[in-house]
Amino acid sequence: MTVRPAMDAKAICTLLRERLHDAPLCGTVLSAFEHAVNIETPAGLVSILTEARCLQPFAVRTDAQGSLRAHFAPGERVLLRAEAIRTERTAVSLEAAAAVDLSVVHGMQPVIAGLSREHHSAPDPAPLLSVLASGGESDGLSALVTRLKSNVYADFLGPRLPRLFAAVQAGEAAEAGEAAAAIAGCGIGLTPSSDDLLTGYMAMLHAMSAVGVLGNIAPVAREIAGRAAKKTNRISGAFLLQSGEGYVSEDVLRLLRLLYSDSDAYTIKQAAMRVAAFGSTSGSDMLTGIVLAIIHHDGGKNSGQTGNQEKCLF
Amino acid sequence: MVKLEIRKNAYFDSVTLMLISKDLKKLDGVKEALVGMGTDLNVEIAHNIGLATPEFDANITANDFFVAVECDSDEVFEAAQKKVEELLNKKTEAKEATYYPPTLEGAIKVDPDLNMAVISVPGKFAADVAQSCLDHDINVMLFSDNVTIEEEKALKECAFKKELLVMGPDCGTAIINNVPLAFANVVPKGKIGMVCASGTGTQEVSSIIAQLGCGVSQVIGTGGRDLKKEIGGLMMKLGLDALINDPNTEVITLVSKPPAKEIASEILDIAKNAGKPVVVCFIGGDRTEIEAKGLVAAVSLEDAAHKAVALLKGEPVQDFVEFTMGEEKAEALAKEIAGKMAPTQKYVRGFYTGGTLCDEAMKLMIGNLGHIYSNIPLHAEDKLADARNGKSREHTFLDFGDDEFTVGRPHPMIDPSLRAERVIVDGKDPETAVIMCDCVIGYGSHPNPAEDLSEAIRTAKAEAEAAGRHLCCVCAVCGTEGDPQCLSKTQKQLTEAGAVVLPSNAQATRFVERILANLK
Repeated sequence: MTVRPAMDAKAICTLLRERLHDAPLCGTVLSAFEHAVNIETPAGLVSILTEARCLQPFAVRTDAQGSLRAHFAPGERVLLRAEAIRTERTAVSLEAAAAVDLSVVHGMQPVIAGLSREHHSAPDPAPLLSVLASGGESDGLSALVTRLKSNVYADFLGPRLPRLFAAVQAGEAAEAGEAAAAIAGCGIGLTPSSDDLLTGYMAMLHAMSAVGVLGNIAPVAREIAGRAAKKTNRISGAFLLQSGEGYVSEDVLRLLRLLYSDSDAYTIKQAAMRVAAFGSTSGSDMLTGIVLAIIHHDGGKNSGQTGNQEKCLF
Repeated sequence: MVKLEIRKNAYFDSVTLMLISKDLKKLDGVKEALVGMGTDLNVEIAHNIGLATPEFDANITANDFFVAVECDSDEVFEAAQKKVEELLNKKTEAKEATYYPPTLEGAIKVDPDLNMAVISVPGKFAADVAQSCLDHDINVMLFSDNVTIEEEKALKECAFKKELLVMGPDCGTAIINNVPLAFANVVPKGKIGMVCASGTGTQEVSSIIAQLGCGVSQVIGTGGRDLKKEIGGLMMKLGLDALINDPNTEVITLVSKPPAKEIASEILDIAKNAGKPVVVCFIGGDRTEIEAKGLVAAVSLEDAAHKAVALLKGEPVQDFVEFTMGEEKAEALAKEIAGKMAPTQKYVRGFYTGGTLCDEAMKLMIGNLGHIYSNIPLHAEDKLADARNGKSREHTFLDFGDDEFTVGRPHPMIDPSLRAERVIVDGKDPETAVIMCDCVIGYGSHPNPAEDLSEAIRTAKAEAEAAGRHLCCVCAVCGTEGDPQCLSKTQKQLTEAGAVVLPSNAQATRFVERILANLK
């Protein structure tokens, strides 16, 4: 495995960098798409992305502009070291990659310090709803919050969500995990829509916890992610586990930070549009999860706070 | 029957899965289809909607890709499997064969001299993408719709300052340096330059110019809202200025619906000082102001083409309101057709895939018909309720490209099946005398739009005949001999189906008027 690097990594998730500094990893290419390659390793799923993709947890973003399928194929063995990721026919240099911290928790400031939870200004989901509504009818789950025409998946999942919201609000990890297991793995797509929804939902819970709106959500989110990951495919499960630990993509992270800042609606909407643009419905399903978290746990009827009640659907 | 295909440990990206799901449901004989990863819940949903088989529960895991199809026969399922294979391979082949830069920055790296971008992304993202192009000094053709008028204004003001084009939003047709963009026809290179705020109107004029043996220098689209007061005709002005200064353009043609009065005045003032002949076709508009400025007014899209060609050739310029087949022959044919009709047959039904062509036909006919009911009515009181699912009323014209008909389906120039169905439905109406249709060919259009239409015409005519009526179908094909579908071949298909095929939308309209005038 001594081929010259065919591409350079521009950015690397700090988690992955730290893991590779600890020890090399061996893995197998699980799937190779145009913009992403997923490698299964004992430490979890590692992704290699083209420059068109925003950085994901446990991933590297490269300078590759062409399809990654030309470089990787499912089943190929991969050696991942701190300086490079190599197969027998290609390599990605990690030497010049900038480390990016994708932790929701590390990046958030407790914006309501000194204020009681009842009096902080809850994020307004309107810009996010506007982005979702402008996408029109969807094969994903956005109808759960836009009230546009529903589909078989949204109809199926709608009645199962309140159990999750109630369990999360009560801090009941086991019950939340049960509820999530009854939701995960539903919908078209490599990452089924309900998994994307849970990813967005958990990311927002971590943000709320970090700013002080919710208590320590980590045990609940970990349980949700762990139970949900067992009900879906390996790739989607890996993303759920990362979100459960509070790690999300750059685009989602940026949106969460803006939601708990003084940013205007336009800026938030622009950030939401970037999230919505991801995949076929994945981005809009993640946004749907974020909106559901806002309206149920920060100003929503389950939260005992004021602000977003009229927007609650359940 | 329900059939299932499982691919073990197979991962396909979400966009591919979504495409497969949509395309399978369109196959003949497929009643329902479900595509996805074999998670418990997807399997449960398959059970809920009757798409599960015993194999499902026995063989599938969350890491398997599945296709479940409810279909009429094994043959249909084989066709579905073939379609899945085709879509999976097609994506791979297409991506491997050509390099598609995933970002604007990537494209510029590949070719730093890029100066034109065609943008076709969901409307909510389109303005941002267009602005990025302008920031890189790249002209824009904005095919996307659902861009707000405020966004359009901001983009065009920015572009105007930089002397860059923003053709659109919702701009479907342009020919730049002889390269057709989006829905356009194969038109020779020539000396007539066009600036147009209408898609199929542009295609009709440029195609007839080609049929008359001439060609175009540039065809610049502006988007339908450019001449509204809010936008101020910025791109019409910039396009006009570009053609005035273009040494390869000898005659200029402007095409649009009648603009806001003050905008019209500004445009005509610029045109007046062009130093080149300018033909102005404000479809259905008043010719007085145009002629008062010393410009040439056109009475129809066809007339605009004839006048531009006449000016280029230095021939006398006069209104073209004739029939290519000759006045006498047209009158005799119309009389003969009308004579075969039953007393109940009184009305024309115009079913269009091109919005501007529909609008032009209504404007040319409204004087004689009084009321024309439509989803894009000329008068608010003539709005047809529930045009998509409801019934036609007296004289009815429908634009199948309007939003009401395109929700959840492609534009009718790409998928004309809905229009074909309506031809059959209205053919059964004892009050229908004439069904009038356009057939737009060229790049972007359906590979054979006449196929469905011909079948529908045959069926409708036969059913009317069986009911003791003579149904007349009048068609006009918009396109050129050089188009992939070929003008004469398309006309022949329709003629063989029993349609009367006229060389232009305006002639078809005049012919229908003759038939109606000859009815008992």
